[in-house]
Amino acid sequence: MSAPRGTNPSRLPQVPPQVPDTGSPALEISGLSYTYPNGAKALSDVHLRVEAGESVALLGPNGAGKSTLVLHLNGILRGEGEVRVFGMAVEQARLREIRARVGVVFQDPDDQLFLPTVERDVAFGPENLGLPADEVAARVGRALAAVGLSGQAASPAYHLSLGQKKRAAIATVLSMQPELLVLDEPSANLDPKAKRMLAEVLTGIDLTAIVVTHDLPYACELCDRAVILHEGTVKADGPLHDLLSDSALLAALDLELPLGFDPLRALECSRR
Amino acid sequence: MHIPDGFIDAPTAVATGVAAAGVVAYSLRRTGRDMHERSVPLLGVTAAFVFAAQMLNFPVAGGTSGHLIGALLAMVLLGPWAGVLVMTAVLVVQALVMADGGITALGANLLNMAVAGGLLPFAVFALLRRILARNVTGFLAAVAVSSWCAVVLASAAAALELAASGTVPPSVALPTMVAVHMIIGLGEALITTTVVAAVLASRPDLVKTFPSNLKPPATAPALGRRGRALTFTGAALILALALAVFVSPFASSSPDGLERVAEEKGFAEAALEEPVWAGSPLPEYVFPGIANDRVATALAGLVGTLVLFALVFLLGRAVRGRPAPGSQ
Amino acid sequence: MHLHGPHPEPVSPAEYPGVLGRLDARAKIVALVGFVVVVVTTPADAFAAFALYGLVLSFLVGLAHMPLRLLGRRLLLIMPFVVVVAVFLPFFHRHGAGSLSVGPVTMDVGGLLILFNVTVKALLAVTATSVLLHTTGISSLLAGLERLRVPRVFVLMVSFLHRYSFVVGEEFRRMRTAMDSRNYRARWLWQGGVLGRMVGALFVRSYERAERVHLAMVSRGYCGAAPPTAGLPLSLWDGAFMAAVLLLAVSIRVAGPYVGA
Repeated sequence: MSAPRGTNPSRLPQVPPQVPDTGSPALEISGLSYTYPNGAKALSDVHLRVEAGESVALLGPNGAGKSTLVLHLNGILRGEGEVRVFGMAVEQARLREIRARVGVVFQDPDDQLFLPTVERDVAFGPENLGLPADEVAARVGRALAAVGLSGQAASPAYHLSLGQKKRAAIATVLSMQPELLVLDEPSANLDPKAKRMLAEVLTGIDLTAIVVTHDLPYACELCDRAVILHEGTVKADGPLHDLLSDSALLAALDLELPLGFDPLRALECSRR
Repeated sequence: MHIPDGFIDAPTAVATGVAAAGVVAYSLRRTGRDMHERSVPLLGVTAAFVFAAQMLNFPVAGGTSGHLIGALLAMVLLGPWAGVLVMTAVLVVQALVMADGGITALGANLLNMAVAGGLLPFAVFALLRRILARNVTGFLAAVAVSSWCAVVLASAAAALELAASGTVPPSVALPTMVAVHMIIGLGEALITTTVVAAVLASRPDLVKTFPSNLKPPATAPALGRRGRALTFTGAALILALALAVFVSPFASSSPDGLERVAEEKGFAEAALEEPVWAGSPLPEYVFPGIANDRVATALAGLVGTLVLFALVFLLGRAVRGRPAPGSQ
Repeated sequence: MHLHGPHPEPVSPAEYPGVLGRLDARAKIVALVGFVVVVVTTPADAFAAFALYGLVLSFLVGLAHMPLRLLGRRLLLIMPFVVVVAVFLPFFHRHGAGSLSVGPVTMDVGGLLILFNVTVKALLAVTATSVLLHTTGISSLLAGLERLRVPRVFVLMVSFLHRYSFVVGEEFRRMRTAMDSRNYRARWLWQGGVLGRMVGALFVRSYERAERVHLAMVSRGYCGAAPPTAGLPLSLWDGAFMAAVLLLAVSIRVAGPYVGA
């Protein structure tokens, strides 16, 4: 089912076509610090570099600052230090471009599905970019197909299960054709079947990805590299399976693996 | 519950519609200026909150329940103009989706809920804030009184609209509806005040009308013994006033039991000839100097009730004597 | 204690019943609202007119495949107002129309006419709006209103209200269940304090949700200027429907007082 065709005299200027910037990392954070208005220090001197095509798990206990860091990636929060996305500095003047290239999927899909139908929600992003109606319709179709919800295009959000809503929320971001996808707790509250379907969708998407999660086994499925945040600073950064096998490190950073979970065995299973 | 189609006649519907449209248009402009693009999700979600809250049953007495209007609550939380928009959205959805409230009556219902039951009591609220103590108690007292006013004014507005449409007789309907809502208003006052107090205790920054330099309560304030006594007295006073002002003018003019017996037995004249107190200020329960019988009776009722309350209050204070050391 | 929310609606416009479901929302809005306006302006004693209105609406109700139980429930909502008017009737004193005694109460015919007037008009209006909603659905309705020049900010707000009424209603239900599980029974006014605190907590939750929704909107490029929703122009059928309903209504209104006079 396609969106209605016709003239769309949008008053919004189009975002200029994205110029591929080979050579720049997908994400480069230098010396980022952020203090909340109430004085609490959320991030202290964070350094992070993510190359294009990587899949990074952002780990850490509650209160470590993971969600705060995510909000800096598309310019919602701006702290001291520098954040660059594909070579572009995240600053007030270029927020529209930044938000077209960095797609953030928040934790609660009900916060992201706010329009009457899934289709309208998925179209919201491209419409805000000023794209013509047929391009918007095409992107909506592709995004819904990528998450396996083409049949639910005309459904209202409250008709969907939680797993479907999570996938729909991802589609709302995919339709903007970002180059960096950031997911905040994608597997939270999902049952195993829904988690598996979501993992299939995510591994099928070929984008640079940062996944914030508590679900360490799930991170093993999706990511190769892990960055561990603790009390606002990056305490560890390396191959995911190596970090998760270092039990002393995990204990020091208040992380715990589920009972009986062996990251190296999981690695073997996924490689088979 | 909102007035359905047909209860408001065409001329009244047009007049109220035009007035309501003006109020909404002005509110859109004011809200746009104050809140920018944050407003749409906030107003929409708050409207969903008011919509859900209006469907809750609040206990009134022994199993019966009442419902919240919420206009003043929305205004205390978000500001008056945003409050108008919130109530408009709620009304439209109720009329269209729940068939609660007529389409031609939208203007009238909006004036009742958002102006008579919203902006006017908000003006009362603003006035009381200036008069009362600049602390949390003063703030909450202002909320309580103005939310009571909201219900009374909204019912008066509804009665006037129905009367103007020829649907109900004004001389009877207005006083009856207002008197009844004076009692119902107590429920709205209690609920609104406790809700505002609860929000103040956790997120005082969300209450737009709460001045930022005021210290918010640490926990949701609960009334102590003295507070409860004051509230009870206040409520009782309001009830008595309601009855005195609005109901007594319609009391039967036939002689009451004692007078009838006196007339029958022939000693009524004896009483009239030698009044014990010739200088009584309110002879025959009528306010001297006011021509209209009904208004005169009402005023007399008002003054009489207030004087009685004052006397009883002072008597109570005197009887209680000095509090024993260590109590209260 | 009951929490009634708006009823979830059918999944897609294709599921809206019958011929009326396929018409443009604007046509239905103009036709049915216009119908209600004409009904409200009809003089109280034009009994034939009301009967004819009812006939037209019955046809539309049938065309819309509307379940009568649903309609019946909505019609009952006007009953409290009818009762209020009836209660005040004996106090109406009009001259010259004759009077009627029912038991100990004497009221005049003029008063009964008022009761009839409000009741029949309310019933007709509720039926018309029900037909509108049953065949259109809230999202198409809002889109139609927007194309009829209702300010977009307002339409968006109502859209959010509808969207989040389920979510917020669900949160209310959950809190209520938690209270019931702890045997909270409030019967008297002063016990409403706990309920007030619950409602206050829910307001805070709603506000925080609104903030997160705003973040999500901004992350997808929203900057206050919302693009207009595109749509199809009105078709011949839409125009025909509008014209038919309005013409019928107006003719009944004009001719009605003379029929049976």
